[in-house]
Amino acid sequence: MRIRIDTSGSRASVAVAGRFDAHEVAEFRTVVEPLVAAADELRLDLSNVVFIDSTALAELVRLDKATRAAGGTLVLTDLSDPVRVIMEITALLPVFTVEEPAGAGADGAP
Amino acid sequence: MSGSTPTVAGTDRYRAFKAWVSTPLTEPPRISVVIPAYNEEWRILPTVGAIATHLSARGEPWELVVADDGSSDSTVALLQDLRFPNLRVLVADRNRGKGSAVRRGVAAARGRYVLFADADQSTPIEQFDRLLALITDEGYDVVVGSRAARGAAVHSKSLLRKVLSRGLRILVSAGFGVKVADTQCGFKLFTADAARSLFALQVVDGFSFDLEVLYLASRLGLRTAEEPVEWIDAPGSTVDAAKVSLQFLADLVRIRLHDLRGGYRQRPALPASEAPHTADAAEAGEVADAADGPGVPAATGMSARPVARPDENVTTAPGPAARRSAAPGAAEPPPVPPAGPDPAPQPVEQSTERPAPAPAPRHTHGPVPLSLSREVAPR
Ligand SMILES: Nc1nc2c(ncn2[C@@H]2O[C@H](COP(=O)(O)OP(=O)(O)OP(=O)(O)O)[C@@H](O)[C@H]2O)c(=O)[nH]1
Ligand SMILES: [Mg+2]
Repeated sequence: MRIRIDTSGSRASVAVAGRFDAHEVAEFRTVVEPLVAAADELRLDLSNVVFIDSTALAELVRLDKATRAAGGTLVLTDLSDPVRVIMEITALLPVFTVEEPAGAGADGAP
Repeated sequence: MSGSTPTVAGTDRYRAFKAWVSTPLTEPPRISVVIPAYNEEWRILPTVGAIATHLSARGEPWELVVADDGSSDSTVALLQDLRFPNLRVLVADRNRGKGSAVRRGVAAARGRYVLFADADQSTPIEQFDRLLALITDEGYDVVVGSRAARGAAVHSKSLLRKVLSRGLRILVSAGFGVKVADTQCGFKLFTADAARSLFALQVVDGFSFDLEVLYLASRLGLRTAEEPVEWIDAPGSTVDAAKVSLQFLADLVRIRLHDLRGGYRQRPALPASEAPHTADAAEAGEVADAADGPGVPAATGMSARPVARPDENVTTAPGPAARRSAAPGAAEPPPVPPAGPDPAPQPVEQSTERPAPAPAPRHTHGPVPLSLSREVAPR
């Protein structure tokens, strides 16, 4: 798994690529945790994640709660197809704020 | 923000998935994926999602069969709640072991190619395409995933198991003539004919069924390839290492005894159309009973596939070419004619379309080296 971070002002963007599973959660948390308090908007790009397991899903739920508690928002941008499918069948898609990329649908992101 | 229109987003793979979950197949599946599942409530849905995304995107009819193994958690309910028209959940009343689960799943599978894959997505499903090409392009009957050196997280449990399994592997190679280095990888692909022949004969309910199947494959003269696959040691294994290794040893003896008694000689293959779909119907039960297990009337058109010379397996290491591509049944019939419903001994040649010449074996290494590659440092 690879993690890339961009911070600009009150917005932090994190891009995760590869397999996001229980082996990667600790590193993910180490990298992302400091951003929770620092950023108003935490944007997480999952477009290059090939697989996400239940442990990583649980971590995202935790992160969503933590950002809210800190007065910010977690926004998932650009889900890969496997991630979208997995979130859908685990009924987790509605839990998150998901921003669709422009042109993806009638109601795409601005 | 577009939370209001979730179904419009996504790309082709997502759309293919949506089509697969909304429309029952109108033709027989080309591919069946069988997942054995025992108490997999934590791991099964992401695995189903990954497999369904990838297989649907291939654009050919496919089905998913999950063979529950008497799970006491919510595995079955989670799957049934999905209400996918092309997913079948075979519920077992009690836990019997992975071998029995895979056997039931394979018996129910209707595809021309049958993959069985573990519920933990340890082998990413993207590797499937490569394995299938070995069957369709190179004429193999069986392609087994082989765990090459990637990211084995060596927690003590799995380390113990791997160390023990190296000794077992030598035994397997010398005693059974099975040259596949990684017999236990939970990612194996079969032609439908091969799958039926193998799993109709196969009797081991536990984890050693992998070895048994490969042993039978070599005895049936099936062409077997071992293909390196990426493998990520998934956390959450439900396996007790030491117990499994001891059981494996016991099973080796069991397989040998069953063989000596002629138990692998005469069970007819289960045609897909006749295959039992219920939990118990395909169970072979005790080894002693296995040869009398549920047979299938010869009228179905599938004939029994007698195993080639029963004494043939005793040798230690035949040359790789002979091992992989010979059709020993064609040379001489078994000394004891099969007593199955179809008395005519048949050569073990498979009947699916495939290029005539036997492919060169892909797998050339001996029994030992691969075990070393598995014991790499944690990622
Ligand atoms: N442990 C266990 N697994 C079973 C059984 N029946 C079916 N399975 C399935 O067999 C597959 C292998 O299970 P794992 O727990 O990953 O076992 P493993 O892959 O051999 O072990 P690891 O290498 O530690 O992952 C999974 O899909 C299980 O759900 C059973 O009785 N016990
Ligand atoms: Mg596993």
